[in-house]
Parts: sequence; structure tokens; C-alpha cells
Amino acid sequence: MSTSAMTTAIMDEETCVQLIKPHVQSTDVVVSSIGKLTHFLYTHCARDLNFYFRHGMGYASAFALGMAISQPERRVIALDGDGSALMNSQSMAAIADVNPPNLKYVIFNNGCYESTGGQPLPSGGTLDLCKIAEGMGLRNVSQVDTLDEVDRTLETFFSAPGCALLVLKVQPNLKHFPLVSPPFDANEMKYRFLSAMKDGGGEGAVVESAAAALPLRSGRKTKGCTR
Amino acid sequence: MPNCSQEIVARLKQSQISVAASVPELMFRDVLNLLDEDKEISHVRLAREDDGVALCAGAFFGGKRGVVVMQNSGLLLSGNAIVNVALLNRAPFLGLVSFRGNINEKFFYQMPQGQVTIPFLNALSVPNTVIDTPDKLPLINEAASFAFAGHTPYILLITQGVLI
Repeated sequence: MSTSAMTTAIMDEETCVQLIKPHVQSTDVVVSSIGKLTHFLYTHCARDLNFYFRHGMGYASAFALGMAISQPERRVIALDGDGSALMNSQSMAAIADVNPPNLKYVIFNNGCYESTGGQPLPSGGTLDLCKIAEGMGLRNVSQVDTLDEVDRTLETFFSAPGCALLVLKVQPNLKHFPLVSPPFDANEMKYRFLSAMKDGGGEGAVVESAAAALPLRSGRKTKGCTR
Repeated sequence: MPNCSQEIVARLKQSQISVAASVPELMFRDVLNLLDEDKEISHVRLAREDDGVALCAGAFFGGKRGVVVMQNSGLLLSGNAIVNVALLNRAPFLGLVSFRGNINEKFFYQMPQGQVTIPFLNALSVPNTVIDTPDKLPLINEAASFAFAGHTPYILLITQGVLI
């Protein structure tokens, strides 16, 4: 989707996830944090190599780091909310320490806990995630504030080599309740994910993992879910 | 004859563990140095222990086996990540945890966590075993085997005196 086709769109999480979608390659792993990002990733970019956090606020970034270390040939994209990023912000220091070249970390900054009704984040609206990230030692930190800039910035962000963090300054949008959760449980997501890793040329140990997950598979297929 | 820290790292490698996440603990000083130097294990230094649980979950879904090295204070901190990341997603990891506040403890302020550590793990249904003598270090291999075959965390609690 181009910005020209979205002249009436506002720069919110949903619009930005739609704009990120064309940049996702078939072998990428995409990790989404709980709440609306999992909702929008599943709604607009459902694929088996997505790891949807349903619970465990604050842990998507550390999970993505572990994935990036374990799959150095594969790009890992982490989609995090500002509340989640703030909750375990110290994970940025670990990411900076490792500096995995295959990790792209995107934080959606809407200034509030949107998934729980829009309560404001602490910091009185002055939270500057770029300063936090740079203070933690991350290189390649940038922020986009307007929809006009998003396409060009995403192109640079995803095409440039190296670990990078992009903060998207988005507007809160509270019209999406109740949220749509992917219609499969954690066991089925595990089976789907590990099978896709295996089929997509994942490393050998994944085969063992997928086989162990197999007995718990429900066998349901999800409409529109592609790899 | 390797010392206990060398034996621990050797047993982690025998167990195909190739990712380690740690928050420093004095007892594991030599283990952490060995992990830093090891070419076969990716060692990530963390600021909080619960990130280690999530990191090992990511490593597992990426096809690697992980260990979190920490004090039991950090284990108590990690309850949310253990339940809502590791148990929810059946993402195994091995926990190499100092059992402070147990036998040989010299500091009163460690005692409360020593009293609640095993009840905490049992409440979470996380399998655990105490290593209180060096001759029990082979349990590292057994615990890793249990964790990665059963897709569950397994916590080894190592008392004061085994390492230092």
C-alpha cells in the first residue's frame, strides 16, 4: 500500500502495519507484542513465521533477540508497543551488546496503553524512546512522525544492513475493540511456526522441536493464513 | 581434572546448549568468564533475568537450546516470564540458579528467598533439583535432557560451597 492510496488514513498502528507488510520477506520471522500489534499483524499479514505474543507483556524484544542469535541467516522483525518496550526497556542494552545484524526492531509509540483502553503511559507524555535506545547503546536509531515520511523511511530501514531501531510516532486509535486474536492456541502456533521454519530451511534442531510439538496439533487450518 | 565451573560449561555443551543468558552472580563468576570465552556458546549479558527466559524461548523457536544463569532472586523476578512465555508456549530452557539463603549461606538478607524458592517453583509446576555437592553436577545433563525432551523449563538450584 502506498501513502498516495492512503490520503485519508491516519498514522496509527494499523496503517503502519499495512505499510510494513510489503517489506516482509517470506523467510523473515516477525514477532509481535501483545494486544493490538498481534491483532493487526494477524489481520493484515498472517503467516506461519509470525510469532504472536498473546501474553507476556514486555518480552517480545528479548524473544526476538534470542531468535536473531539462533537464526543468523534469517531476518527477524520485532513489532513492539511503547508500553511493552518501556516495561522491559533494559532488553535494549542486551540488543545493543549483541548488535545482531539481522534484527530490525520497530516500536509503535502512541503514548498510551491502547489495548487496555488508552490509559496514558507514565512520563507525562514526554517519553523519548530514541533517547532511551541511544542511551542503551543502540546504533541506527530513527523516528518517523508523519505518514508522508513512513514509506521512504521503511524502505531505508529494511534495506540497510545491520541492527536498527525505528520508532513510529502513531496516533492512538481506540475503535478496534474487541480485538481479534489469532484463532489458534499456543500449541498450534508452535506447530505452525516450527514447521514453517523447517520448510523454510531452518537449522536442524528445529526438526526435533517440530516433531515434539506434533502430537498437540489441533489440525485446524486458518483462513487466509499463508506462509 | 576440570574444576566445577569447567565441568558445568562442559556439561552444558554436552547437552547441546548453545545460547546462554546471564545476570551476574558471584558464585558463577568463573562460569560466566568461561561462557564469555567459549566459541560454541553465544553468551548474552542481561540486565534482568526475566529477559533471559524470553531470550531462551526465542532461541528455542530458532532451533537452539538455551540456559539462563542467575541468582534465585532473579528466578523469583522471572515468574511472569516463566508462566506466560515459557510454560504458555512450551518453550524449554535450563535454569542454572544459585540457591542463596540455603545451607552455607552467611548473609541474613539472603534467607527469605532461600525459604521460598522451592515452594515458588513447585507452585509454578516447574521441575527442579538441588545440587549441593560437586558429585551431583552430572544432573545438569539429566535436567537438560528432561527440559528439551519435555518442552518445559527445568531449574537446577546450586547451593553455596559447590562452586565457591
